[in-house]
Amino acid sequence: MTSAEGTESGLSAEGGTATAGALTLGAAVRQPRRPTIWTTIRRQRLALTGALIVTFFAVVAVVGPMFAPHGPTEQFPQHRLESPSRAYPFGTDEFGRDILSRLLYGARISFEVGAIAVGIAGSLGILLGMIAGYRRGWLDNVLSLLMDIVYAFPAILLAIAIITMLGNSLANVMIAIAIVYTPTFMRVVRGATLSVRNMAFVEAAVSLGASTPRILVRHIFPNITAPLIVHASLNFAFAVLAEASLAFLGLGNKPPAPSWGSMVSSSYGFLQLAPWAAIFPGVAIALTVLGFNLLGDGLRDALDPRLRS
Amino acid sequence: MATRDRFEELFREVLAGRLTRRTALGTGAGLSAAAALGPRGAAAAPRGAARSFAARRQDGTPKPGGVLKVGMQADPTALDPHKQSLTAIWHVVEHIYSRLTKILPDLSVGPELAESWEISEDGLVYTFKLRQGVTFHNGRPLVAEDVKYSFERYGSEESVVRSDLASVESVEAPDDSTVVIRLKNRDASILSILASQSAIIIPKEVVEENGDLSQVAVGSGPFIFREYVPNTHVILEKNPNYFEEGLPYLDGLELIIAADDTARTTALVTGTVDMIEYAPLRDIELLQSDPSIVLAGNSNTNIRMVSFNMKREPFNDVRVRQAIAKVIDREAVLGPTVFGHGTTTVVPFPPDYWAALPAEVPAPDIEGARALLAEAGFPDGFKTTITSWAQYSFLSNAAVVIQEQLKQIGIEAELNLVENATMIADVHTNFNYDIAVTGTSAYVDPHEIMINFKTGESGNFVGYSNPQVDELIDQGQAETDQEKRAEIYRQIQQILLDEVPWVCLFVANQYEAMKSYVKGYTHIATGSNYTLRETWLDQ
Repeated sequence: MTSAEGTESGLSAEGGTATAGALTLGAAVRQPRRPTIWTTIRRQRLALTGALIVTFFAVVAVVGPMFAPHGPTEQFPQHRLESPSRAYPFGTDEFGRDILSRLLYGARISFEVGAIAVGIAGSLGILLGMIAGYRRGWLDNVLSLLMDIVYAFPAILLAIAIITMLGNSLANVMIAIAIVYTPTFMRVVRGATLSVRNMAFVEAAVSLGASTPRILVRHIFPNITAPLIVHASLNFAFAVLAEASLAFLGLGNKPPAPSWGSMVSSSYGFLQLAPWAAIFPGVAIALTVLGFNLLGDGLRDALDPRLRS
Repeated sequence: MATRDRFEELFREVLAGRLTRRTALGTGAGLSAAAALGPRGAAAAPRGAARSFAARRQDGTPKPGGVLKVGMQADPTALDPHKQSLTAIWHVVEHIYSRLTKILPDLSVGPELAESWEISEDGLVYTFKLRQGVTFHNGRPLVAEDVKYSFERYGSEESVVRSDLASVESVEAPDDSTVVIRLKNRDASILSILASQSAIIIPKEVVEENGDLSQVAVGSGPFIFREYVPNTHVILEKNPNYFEEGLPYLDGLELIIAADDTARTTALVTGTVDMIEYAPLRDIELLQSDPSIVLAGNSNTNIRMVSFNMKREPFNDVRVRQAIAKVIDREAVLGPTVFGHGTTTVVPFPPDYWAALPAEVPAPDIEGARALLAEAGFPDGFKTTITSWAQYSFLSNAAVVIQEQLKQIGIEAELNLVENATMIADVHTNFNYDIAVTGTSAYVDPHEIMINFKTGESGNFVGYSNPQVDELIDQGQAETDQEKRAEIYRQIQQILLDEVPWVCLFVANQYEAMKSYVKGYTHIATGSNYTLRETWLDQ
């Protein structure tokens, strides 16, 4: 990042002193005007691609069902396993259901699970991570140990165990994914909190008599959002993938609900007969996950001062 | 092709009941391979009693030797057919043990350990003459006392299949080669029960030594048990002292468990195994197009059906059941379930079975269904649930289709696809369901299906009760003339069509697929693979 590029886009660098403070603590400390997140992303083709893909699927998740040519569970027995055509742009599955329509409805499930699971995991992780990182001592040890225990289990295996305990439903899939991904959020937040808590402005707030909640919310939290955003973006991809994996195994939404993972699962068996039935949902999963990964990487490059050249 | 046509002809005659009226019993096709529905039938639901006509016995001179690898559909989990009733157990132990009788390819009962048998005038006493010189794999001679012991264990409290022998009064062994079975009442299906998986002859000392037969198997059959590794394989070795002269041709059998359909097809195509049972129906075209692969088998007698919990509202109202029966489009069910490899039916028998009521499969009648529902007090439909087997796509996919079809008359059904244990407990035992999409296990004798409609029977998981039907079922069991039996069963089916405890959907096809060098195998109607003893490798 050259200083010339930095000047071009110095629109929001002053906004939110705390954020600026945290970010400028790194290598860019002598540059009063820094590029915004947006300009950084725009400069990186891959990150931009990721953002476009994510935006596309997000829009599909919201408005897609309005454009679906058929109902997601509507069956046309005369048109079973038909290859893509004008009437069925992505072909039909073994029940004669339109795959495009099911994909459009399925996007909503994927994004719902991603958003809610990451939301829960993020909230829990932020709460536990900030407390642990700020208070240190025995509380930190206990919380970190607990999170390490959860983290020690393979993600999908733990999720299956949790769903088995809670019962098989989409809500419980979200809870399971959230629990599985809480430890990484907690670690990221704790680490960031540790580095921020010894800053002069925190010391200043303490000496001015600010309460602990106030310090956490007003002074520390705004300064740890950068790694958090990156982590949330990457975890969204994991959550979408985890939902698809669990649906593939028959956990989560009940049939005939159109979950991408269950679409792959029910049709991979006749891949030779009707490849489109498994390929299109497979591609949708792959693209969404790829999009979030690219976006997450791009955000990290944009937000992490250590990666600025 | 000529052979195939001949068998088709033969098969039709068997179905029509013409060929089987030859037994001393005079009961015609009084054959039963397994008990019908109910917890045990349900556990064996995917098994097919295919009625074979793609038999391939004229394969030239058998060459002895070689080990045949067979891809199996399911893990047997244990080897004791009295402790558990799973088709997968049968498909292992049928090679190790012998029974008194066996079901022949033409669906009649033939001798195995019994050389011959006589039936008393009143039909209540069966006297069997045993083969001489038969030994167990441990070297001890098999005598009549072993048969008595085996059947006593089969019918004892610890046996989960004891209801098979409900009509047996006593088993006696007057001398080493004679067995006398006395019945409480005439039972047209007893000879075929004696050919079933649980009617194996076991040595007492092995049971006593090991507690049970779940991990050991010492029989008198064509193959000797060597090893069972759960979820992996069962290894069997040729029995050089087998009593059928010259058999088996193979030096050994390796039964490799390949539960996943795709894995099974792939294993055969790539040559990891020489043969697979339950060739996945979605892969039939693929397998047919492969010149190195041959298929055996055809239409099957297992009924797939929608059944109602008649102890619950609103399914206690016959109009609601009739409305649902009118709305169901059976043709639409065939595709997603068996990829078209099946036949639709409205009665609980294949349409060409000798006891079947000739009945057209009607087109769906939405208006008629709505009218009936309105009459029953549900003009806008209602909410309910459909329970089915998560593990078997030919049932769960039928449930998905039916759920969609019911929407046409306003019935919103939530789909519960559950594990086998839950299915057996909730649907087949405890009346804890609304609508179920399920199936029956293999049968050859019509009584095995009809008993499911008798008041209070364990197989009557719908809670159906009609004194007239109960009476007719008893008459059908006692009747020995096949024409008269068929007439009785047709009467029952007519009543069932009106009262709709089940909406019968279809019978599926069942195939075994093998490499073309596998010769001599004959597909058996009951789903048994016992003809592997006559199979040889041409390579």
